[in-house]
Amino acid sequence: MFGTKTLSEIRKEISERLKEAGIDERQFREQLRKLRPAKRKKPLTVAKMLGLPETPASKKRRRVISKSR
Amino acid sequence: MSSHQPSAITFTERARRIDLVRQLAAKVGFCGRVEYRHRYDSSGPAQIRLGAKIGDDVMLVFAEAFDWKEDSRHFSLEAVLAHECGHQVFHHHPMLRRLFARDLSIHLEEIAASIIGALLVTNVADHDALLDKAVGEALQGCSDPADAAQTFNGIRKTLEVVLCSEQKL
Repeated sequence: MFGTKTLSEIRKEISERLKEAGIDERQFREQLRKLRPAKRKKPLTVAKMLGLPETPASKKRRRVISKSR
Repeated sequence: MSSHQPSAITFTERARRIDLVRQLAAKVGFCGRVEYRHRYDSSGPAQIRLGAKIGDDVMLVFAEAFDWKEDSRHFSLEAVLAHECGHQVFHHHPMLRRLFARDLSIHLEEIAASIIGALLVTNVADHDALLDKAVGEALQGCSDPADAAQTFNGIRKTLEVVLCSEQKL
């Protein structure tokens, strides 16, 4: 269930909570940016995460992504 | 459920929406059936109905997802679908539910679904948006932001070790 909160509402709430706690939001954002994964040769898919054989759709997705890089 | 409902759309528009959600669900790697329902739902723009087996899962996408699509304040349709795929992985992974069994709650699952979704999307903006959703969820469940950060990092590290370490990157 995704919920009904907008992304801007969520970001505003995060900002307010960090401000209340005296945490520097810029530093916090920097930490989150570090979590961006490095570009993978083969992107992750649900099937891969679950150790299932690749479906034609996931193979196609991998081909499309590798062509665009 | 909201009494307010979307205005009627043409058959062509409906077909276009079905086609788009199916394409995007395949892009993020959803395994199962995808359906579009032209109504608003109190659960938000999309919902997953989990089956006993992964192929039995059904992803329901509601009209709200297309209202969101037009509005930059919202998550993209791909991010919404990736989050739902996160639930799919969380439920069907043989190890994850056991690993989190002690602290399992709807709240924890929502954080995990967003983090898994962030691993599935290829767009940086969607990745950051889904991590923000996970952080927001963690902050909501903890009175102290330091506890929320610990919760978020603990779940994230476990998911990355379990879901990414077996991959040949």
